Amino acid sequence: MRSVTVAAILFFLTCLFLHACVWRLRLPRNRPAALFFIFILVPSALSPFLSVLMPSIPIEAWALLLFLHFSLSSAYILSYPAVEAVSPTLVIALQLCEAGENGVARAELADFFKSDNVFRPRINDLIDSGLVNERDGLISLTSKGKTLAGFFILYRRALGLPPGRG
Amino acid sequence: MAKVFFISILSPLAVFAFHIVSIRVFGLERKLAGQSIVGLSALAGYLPVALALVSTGVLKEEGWWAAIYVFISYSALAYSYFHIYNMSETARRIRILRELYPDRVMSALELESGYNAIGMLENRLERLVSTGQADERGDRYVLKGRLIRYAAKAVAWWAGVLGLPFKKF
Repeated sequence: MRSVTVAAILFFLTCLFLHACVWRLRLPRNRPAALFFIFILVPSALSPFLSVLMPSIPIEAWALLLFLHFSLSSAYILSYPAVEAVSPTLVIALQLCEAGENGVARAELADFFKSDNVFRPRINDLIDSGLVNERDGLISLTSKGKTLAGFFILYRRALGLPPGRG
Repeated sequence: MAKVFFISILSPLAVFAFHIVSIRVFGLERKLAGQSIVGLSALAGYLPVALALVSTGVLKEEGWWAAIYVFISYSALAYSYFHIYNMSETARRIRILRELYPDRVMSALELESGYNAIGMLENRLERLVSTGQADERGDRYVLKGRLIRYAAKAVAWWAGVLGLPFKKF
């Protein structure tokens, strides 16, 4: 189990390194798809070849290795929007951090929340990710967007919570 | 190894089950911030996972590394679950998708008209204060918690590594 755990962590770190290299070279247009490709598709495609190259490693060990890698990858992929989308909460935290004990007035913090900073860039992200279409200035969901929206609506209902406040 | 695999795959159900029970049975959402409830549910989830490791004999058969493996994978999945919840609660992208669901067609201007900048700021400040990460002193806010401070710095650093502009306002 020790070698499986260590190998899975190394596998994940290799993908993380690859991701940083790709982002540095050329920022992909559809970032969620690129992350899915690097962290999920490439390792899934490589593992059958690796298992043939290393026949002494049992198939269960490969399954465990991939599962831990996918768990770590899902944690990273879901955290990634905070890096890219300039998470408002983290921006507030950074501003408060810089201000120290004096703190920051509510009015100063409100500057970031102007629509130009937080709204239009998100629509562009959704278009780049193929979740919405924009035609003649009108925006609608793609089938992928519908599936994702439906999932979140069902999820909130299952929890018994009203729609989020976004 | 098969037992380790099944315990790991089933482990995220523990967070989800605790989360549903804490809202539907105990109504904790009226007393605590949503993120705190998920955090507590994730912590509570370690207990059934540990019990599964002991009761199925995995700890005896596979040793401590099996437990380390299961706890790392559970922690990563519980953290993923936290993000899914957080997205459902605060993400603007999810809100836009929800407003367009299932077949609505809107202009960017119409979508923006439902956007309340002050409300959005209030939500976040309220959450930072209720989770103990910030203090409200009159009209000013002061950072209190270390967790959010380190998280913000780590994110800004990683954005720099990736060559992304992490704008500060």
